[in-house]
Amino acid sequence: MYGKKVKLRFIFIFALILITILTSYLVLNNLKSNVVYFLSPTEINNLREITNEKLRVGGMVKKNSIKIDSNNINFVITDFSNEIIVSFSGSVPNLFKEEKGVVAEGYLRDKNFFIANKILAKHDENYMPPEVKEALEGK
Amino acid sequence: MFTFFQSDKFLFFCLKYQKLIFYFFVSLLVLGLWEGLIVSPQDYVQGNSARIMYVHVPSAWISLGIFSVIGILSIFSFIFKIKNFLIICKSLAPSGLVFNLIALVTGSIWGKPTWGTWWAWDARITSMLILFLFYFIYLVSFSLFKKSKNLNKISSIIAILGLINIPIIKFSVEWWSTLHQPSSVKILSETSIHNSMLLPLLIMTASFALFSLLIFLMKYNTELIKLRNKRLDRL
Amino acid sequence: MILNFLNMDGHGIFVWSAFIFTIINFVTLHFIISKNLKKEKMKFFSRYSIYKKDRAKYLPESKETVSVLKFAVKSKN
Repeated sequence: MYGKKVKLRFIFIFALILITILTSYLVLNNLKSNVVYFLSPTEINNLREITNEKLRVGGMVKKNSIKIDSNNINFVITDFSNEIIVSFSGSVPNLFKEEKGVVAEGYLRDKNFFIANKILAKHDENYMPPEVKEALEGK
Repeated sequence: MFTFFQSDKFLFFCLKYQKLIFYFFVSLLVLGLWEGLIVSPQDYVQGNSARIMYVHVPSAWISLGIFSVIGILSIFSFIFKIKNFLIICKSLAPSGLVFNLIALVTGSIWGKPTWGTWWAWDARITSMLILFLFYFIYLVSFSLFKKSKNLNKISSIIAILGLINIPIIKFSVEWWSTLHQPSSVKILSETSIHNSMLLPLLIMTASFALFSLLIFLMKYNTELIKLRNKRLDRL
Repeated sequence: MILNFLNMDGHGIFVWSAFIFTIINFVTLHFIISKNLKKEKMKFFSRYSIYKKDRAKYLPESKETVSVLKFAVKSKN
């Protein structure tokens, strides 16, 4: 039905798409540690060795775990199976709260202790007015 | 349908409805801004900064949508050498680029009060930046290879390569742990935005889509007249 | 009250700059694209002096213009 050139071009495009999907899949898989923005406490726990590299830990701030003294703030990041204690000095973002998502950037002291030099708040995909939230909690 | 696009009827359609689309766009934009900035409530966590969503999210959606259309049309234009598709793609690209820029910049402005940083190299943001580069290279290719016979081939291949990036952007928040939150508006499951906030979001999306349609029609019109000028030159 | 609204609990500067950035981009894009469109139209009319320049300014979107455009295409064939 179609000419030879059209068929050739079709095969070329098909091959091109296939090759790009394959290469991007391979590249992204190999670079997984770079693509992932932060590690969960479980992944930290599974690390073979503790390096001096800068890394990020993310998860939920554990309830009643925030302790503020003169110039330090300590809290616990949890992913509900493992936990890690984070120590940080500086100002935290407004959205930093208990039972909310957080990403801490810094250095691992050991598998349970992390010294952060930057705290980022991670929020979830839920949007609602405060009154609706109160009504939901009231139930 | 293809004959409709290729005939002068389409040009006539553009000229006739351009103004109508413009007025419709402006009234929807004003309604969307009113709903988004004044009527809609604050968010329970983010407060008033969540209002940035009403420009950030529609821009991101539309820039993604436009690039998908460009990529798919490019496949056809590469295989069947349909010149009209090339012109359509070329006319779609400028508004896509601008919406992509708006999504990146407003996202950055949103990031400061919520995350506490202007920029993060997480998968969603980085892949959006790559999309922006693709838009840029795609548009530049038209002026770089203006006189080349291979213009159709080169620009189509750029668009098709960029097409692979689209599902990566879409699913980046699900495949990897990112700072960016997962999508709130989902097709298959329930959306996690309260209706009072979803309404301005949808109005803004409609008005942004109309704006990109308007820009597309004007640009497409320009390209057609350009072609005519060239043809008349040869007479 | 207006100041309160503009301030938005301290988030005002972020919200307003995001919206203003969007609007500025819209206006700029629309300006550039419509300028180019006008330029091409003027080229078309001036080159063939079908319309005098001053008339083209007032009649760029009339039915006659379209018929002229159609004529131009037909004359090529």
